[in-house]
Amino acid sequence: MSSTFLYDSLPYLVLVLAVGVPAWLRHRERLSAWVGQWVEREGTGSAAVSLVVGATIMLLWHAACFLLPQPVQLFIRSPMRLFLLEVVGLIGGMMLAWGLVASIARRLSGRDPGARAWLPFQVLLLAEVLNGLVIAVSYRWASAWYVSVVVPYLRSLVTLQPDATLIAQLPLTVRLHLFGALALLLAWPLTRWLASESSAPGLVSAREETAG
Amino acid sequence: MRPDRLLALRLQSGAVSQAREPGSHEEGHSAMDTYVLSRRRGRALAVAALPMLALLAALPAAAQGVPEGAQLFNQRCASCHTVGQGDRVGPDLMGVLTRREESWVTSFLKSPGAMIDGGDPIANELLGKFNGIRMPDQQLTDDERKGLFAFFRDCAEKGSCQPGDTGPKLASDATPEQIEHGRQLFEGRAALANGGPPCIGCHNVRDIGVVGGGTLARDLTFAYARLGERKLTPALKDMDFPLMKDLYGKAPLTDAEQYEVKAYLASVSRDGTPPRKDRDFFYLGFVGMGVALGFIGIVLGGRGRAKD
Repeated sequence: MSSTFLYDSLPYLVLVLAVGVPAWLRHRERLSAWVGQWVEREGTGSAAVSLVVGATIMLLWHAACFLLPQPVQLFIRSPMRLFLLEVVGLIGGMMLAWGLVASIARRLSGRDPGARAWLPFQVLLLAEVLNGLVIAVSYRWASAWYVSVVVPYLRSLVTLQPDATLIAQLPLTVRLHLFGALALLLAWPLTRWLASESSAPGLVSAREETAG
Repeated sequence: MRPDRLLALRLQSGAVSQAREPGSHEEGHSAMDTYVLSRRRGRALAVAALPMLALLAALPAAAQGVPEGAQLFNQRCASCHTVGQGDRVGPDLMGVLTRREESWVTSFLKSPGAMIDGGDPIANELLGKFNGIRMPDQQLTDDERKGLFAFFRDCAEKGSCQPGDTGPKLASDATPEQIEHGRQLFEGRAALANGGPPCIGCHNVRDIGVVGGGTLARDLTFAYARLGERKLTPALKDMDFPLMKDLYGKAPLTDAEQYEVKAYLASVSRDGTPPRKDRDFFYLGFVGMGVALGFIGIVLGGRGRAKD
């Protein structure tokens, strides 16, 4: 085993195992119930699968560039691999957009107030995804400049030493993507609270009221 | 303003006021008079300055002689042309102004592509002779063109010409290996020594990568033709452009890397054909999504359950 792995990678592996495994064991039932509810609500059609696959690809793409910029830079040193990474990202983004459109359409036609509370969040998320697609096409190759320009800024935020020198010089569309992400971070807890309030057990649905 | 100068100005304006009838309605016009006077003074100054300005304007024109033409030739033309040393990527330009009309050469310099597309027989003959390689448009000022022509005539009179080495190593002197290494540096296949990001992430160049380079920044296919040796060499050294100044400030290109990238850009700009503006990547995304959705449909078979 190389010393590079022992000193560079092993600490992170141990941290992930030490934090991730107990968290998984503690919350697995809750997580499985949440997945069940999601499947019940969204179904298992191609749009729902597209949503999950697209979201997974997008999360992995952004997280890999943020957490592992050097390995990503090494990976994209070949123009073919850079192209493949970008194509996978673009397809993932399109699948996520398609899944979101289908999900929004379903919520619009439904009457569940708890589910409807998520509509603004989903529309915001769709706008963010579409903005990301515009960036991917208009300002290609995003994975190349993302690791060199955006990741240093994000990392400077994490280390509480914000340095926006590079990111402030990016086109407005790219900066809007960043502000969109911040808006989503704000909207997430607010929407969860609204959804839980809307679907509180004390409320009587229109159908129950009519039956009574 | 110095107090003595202020006093002098006040005295001047006082003298103008005293020249009028005291108490007359003209007193109310003193501001207007001052304005008229200052306008007159301005005009007089302008008239006096005109010959000086004309002299200044004539200076660059006078300066564009044979040495300037030779320098310009080194910077902009020598990567493809010689004067008396035979054909290279383009023709030997020895005696070009005796075998062609000056007006033809002028038009060709401005836009070779337009002349080729317009069906000019000589331009098309040259295109065929030099393997279909189009010369990029040259944005020269009249003075620069005159200097270049003076250099060509001087060479023709002497019967030979060997423009002296007037600056950093020319891109035209690069070996094929250096040009190839420049391409690798641009594409990122060879890492930059100081860890800077490869150019392909933001810049496109014709025939690079799988479907081209990045589009965040300017297309560099004709960077060499546009900037020439004179401007491209310091541009690669200083990287004085938005984002790049900060990005490469801590990771500058080494001298060898600057030269190899310059040589690669020079080799690319020799073909004047405009790069294709494609949307392949966008359409590819759609095709890819269709394939992915089709694959999901096949895997799910009839088991998928879409919600209404």
